[in-house]
Amino acid sequence: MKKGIILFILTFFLGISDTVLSQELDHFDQHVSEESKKILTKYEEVTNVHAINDDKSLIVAIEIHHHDRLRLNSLEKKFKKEIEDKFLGYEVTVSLDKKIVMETHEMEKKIKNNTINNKDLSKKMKKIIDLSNDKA
Amino acid sequence: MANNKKKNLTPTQQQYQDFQSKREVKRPVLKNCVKAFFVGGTICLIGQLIQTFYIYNFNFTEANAGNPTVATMIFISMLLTGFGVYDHIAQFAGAGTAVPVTGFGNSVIAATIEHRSEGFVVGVGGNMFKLAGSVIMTGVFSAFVVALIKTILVTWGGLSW
Repeated sequence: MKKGIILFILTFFLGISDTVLSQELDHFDQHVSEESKKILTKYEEVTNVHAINDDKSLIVAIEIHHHDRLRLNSLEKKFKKEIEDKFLGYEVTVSLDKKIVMETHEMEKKIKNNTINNKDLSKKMKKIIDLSNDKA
Repeated sequence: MANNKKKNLTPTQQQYQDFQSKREVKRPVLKNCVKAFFVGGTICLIGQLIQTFYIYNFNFTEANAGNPTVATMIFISMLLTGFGVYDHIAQFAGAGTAVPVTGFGNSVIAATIEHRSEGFVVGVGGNMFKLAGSVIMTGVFSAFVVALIKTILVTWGGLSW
C-alpha cells in the first residue's frame, strides 16, 4: 500500500516536470531588468539587485548594506526616481523590503530555469506589486 | 518635611539613623540595568525571530510583519503570566520585562488574576484594563495628535504623505 502511494506520487511529480520541460516557454525580454541591475550595482550602498519585468511593469528589489538601512526611505526614493527616469514606458516598483527581495529572486530563478510562462509571470508580478504597496 | 522630622528627633535617634543609613543595603542599580538590558534584549531577539518567521513563511512584508509579531508576543506573555512563569522572570529582570510589549500582556493578565475572586463581570471585566488602560489611552491619544499635526503639515505646510 505504502509503496503504491510513493510510486503514485513519484509518477505524478515526474509527469509534472516532464510537461514543464516539454513546453516551449517564450519569455518577456528581460534586458530592461538587466539594464536596471547594471545601473543600481554601481552604488556603493547596494550589495545585490534582483529585477524582473513583463511588457508593462518592472520590479526591482535591492539589497543594501545593513548600516545603510537607517536611510531606507530616502534610498528607496532615490533609486526609484533613477529607474523611473530611465524606463519611462514601464510601471516601476522599487523595493528594499526583504520579502519583495525573496519573491523577486525566486521569480528570477524561475525565469532563468525556464519553469514559468508569461501569463504566470505577469500574475505573480501583480501579486508582488500589491504586496509592496500593502502598508497596513 | 523630612528635614523637620530629623530636627525633632532626639540625639540618640539621629545617631541611630546615621548608623542605619550607613549599614543599609544599597540598591544595585548597575546590576539591575545589566539584567534588564540582557533579558529585554533576549525578548526583542525572540520578537525578531518571530517577525522573520512571519516574513519567510507567510505573506507578510517587513512593513507589516510587525502586527502579527506584536500579537504573538503579547499572547505568549499572557500565557506565561497565567502559568506564573513571567512573574519569576520579571522579579529577576525588572524593567527588562516591563518595557517591551510583553509587559503589556503581563499587566492585563496580572490585573485579571488579581480580581478574579470578584466575579467575571465586575472583577475580571471591570479591572482587566486597570493597568493596561493607560497604555492604550496614551497610544490612541498620541497617535491622534501625531496624525493631526501631520494632516495640518500636509494641508498647509507643503509636506507630502
